[in-house]
Amino acid sequence: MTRFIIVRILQAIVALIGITILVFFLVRVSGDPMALIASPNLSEEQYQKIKESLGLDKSWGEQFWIYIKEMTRGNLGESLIREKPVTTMIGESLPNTLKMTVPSFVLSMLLAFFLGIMAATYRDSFWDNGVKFLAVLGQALPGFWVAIMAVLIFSVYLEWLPVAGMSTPAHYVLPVLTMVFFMLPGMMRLVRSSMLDVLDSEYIKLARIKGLPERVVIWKHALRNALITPLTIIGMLLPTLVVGAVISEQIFNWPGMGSMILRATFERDFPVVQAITVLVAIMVLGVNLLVDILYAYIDPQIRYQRS
Amino acid sequence: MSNIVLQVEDLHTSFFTRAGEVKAVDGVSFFVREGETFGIVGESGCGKSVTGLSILRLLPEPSGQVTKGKIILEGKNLLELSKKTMRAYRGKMISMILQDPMTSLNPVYTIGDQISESVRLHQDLPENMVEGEVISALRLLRIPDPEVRTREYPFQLSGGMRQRVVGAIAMSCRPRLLIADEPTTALDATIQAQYLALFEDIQVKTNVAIIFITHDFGVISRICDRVGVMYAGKILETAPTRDIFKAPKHPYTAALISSVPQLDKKDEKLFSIEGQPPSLLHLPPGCRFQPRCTVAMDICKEQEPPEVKLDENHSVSCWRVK
Repeated sequence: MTRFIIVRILQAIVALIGITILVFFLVRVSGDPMALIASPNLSEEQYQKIKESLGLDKSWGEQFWIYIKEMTRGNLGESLIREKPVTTMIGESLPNTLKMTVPSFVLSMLLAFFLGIMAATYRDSFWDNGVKFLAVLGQALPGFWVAIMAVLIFSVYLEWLPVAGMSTPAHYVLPVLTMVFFMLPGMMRLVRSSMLDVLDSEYIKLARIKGLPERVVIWKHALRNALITPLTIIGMLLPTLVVGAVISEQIFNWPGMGSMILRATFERDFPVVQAITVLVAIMVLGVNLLVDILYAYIDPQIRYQRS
Repeated sequence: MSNIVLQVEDLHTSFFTRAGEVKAVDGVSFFVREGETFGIVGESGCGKSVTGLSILRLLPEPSGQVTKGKIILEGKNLLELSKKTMRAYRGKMISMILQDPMTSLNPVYTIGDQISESVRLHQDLPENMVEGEVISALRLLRIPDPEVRTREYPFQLSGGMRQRVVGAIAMSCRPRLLIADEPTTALDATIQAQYLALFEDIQVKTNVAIIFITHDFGVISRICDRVGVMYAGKILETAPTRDIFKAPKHPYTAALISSVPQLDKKDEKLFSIEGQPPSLLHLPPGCRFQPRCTVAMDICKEQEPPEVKLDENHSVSCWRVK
């Protein structure tokens, strides 16, 4: 198992280097930031001066070399537009994003597992049909539309909740709920179907034959076997916790990572885009590794294959 | 004669589906004595497994229901027990071995976990004695190196060994009744013979009553003391195994026995029964076997034959038998 983890970490490092190179050159292919920064009235001399100060006069190769050199020292560069270190900008936005995404994620997962397991246990009951209806509804309605409707109803008409911003706890209600609405249905369906498969199996029948109470049958014998598929999807959801929900942050004017990457992309603010992309890549790679380790923990057969 | 452990009287089990009521078990009566093996033999879908699940009260809910009858285990009607009491009976008083050893053990828990779970649940033992009980259950099923096996996972064992573990789980609390639902069907022929020998051994050691469900007359002749031949939800003939092979009274029993391949008959086409078993949604009028019966008479199409007792242990439901 240790060997497996070391190999996976090495693979992750190779992937990360590849991603860094790719992102660096791809953002530069997208266009010249000078076209957005410099006013057309500037003289040639002034234009060159700005270009030099931003380091854009050097060749792409030289820029890349500087970028890598600085990155190894923990310096992700400075925003071309805002003249602030990128690390400072992330330091300001990331907590805001986490404040919205972490509660949404935790709430979604708790509800998804609870509702999904209940729906599978009491299959075709009133309860199960409710869950199925909610799942289809949630997957059919686009998140941005639900968010806008929620604002319209609860903030504009009923005036119960603030429209946007994040100054009071009340400001968290709508963003969190819309994110839950986005994450919950798919997850809930997955837990339900995964549980249904397991509950149909012979070892569950045997567990009942042994005289085990239903509580033990469901939560001990069935759940652990039903965890594998949902775990994969949880792994895929986790990076969005950091990038934030781009759309939700736009709608609720939330000063988080999602808003930041959107703005940086439009402004061709290379260092910001690079930093966030690499951060997301690290997240994805790290989470995948974690999920792989958890698989081995849950399923002994995976554990044995690896050692 | 030993004590009767289980007496099933006029058991009716139905599945209520959208298409209507499927009478999977339609008036089945039999009993099993202590230390005896009673075989239930029949084609797929004749209701033999449902009979087993009805005894354990583990029918798929809410569609499957026992609609009539009594299931008496050592004087107590199981159908009248509370859910909680019934659960305490499962695994302790009655156990079951399922058909497919590859899927009937939980893949994520060790063998030791899965056996000790039953032991802890049903026996009031101090924790330091649980391990010993688990090992003794594995020994009863003649599993080699039981101390090592307890720490292994199902995927590390062969099919035959897994089925022994399932047996060990079933026998871990020394039940009074063991229901074996085609336990050897998924095993190789050689492993099958070993496994059947185990049953005899277990029975001698524990005096457990066994209901052995199978479609294989070869298996029946090997280990059953008495046998009930089931067809479309009903037992058509019950008799001691020797009698049923020597002189089957019901045309269906006779047909089933002649369709068993025999090594000493060469180059003969294997006998088979014409037609298909009836749909349990729409049973034919009269005797349920009559459409496929080669010796059917007029009365067979009109009235269901009553059960005739030929002697204490042999009974048949057929108009031909007087």
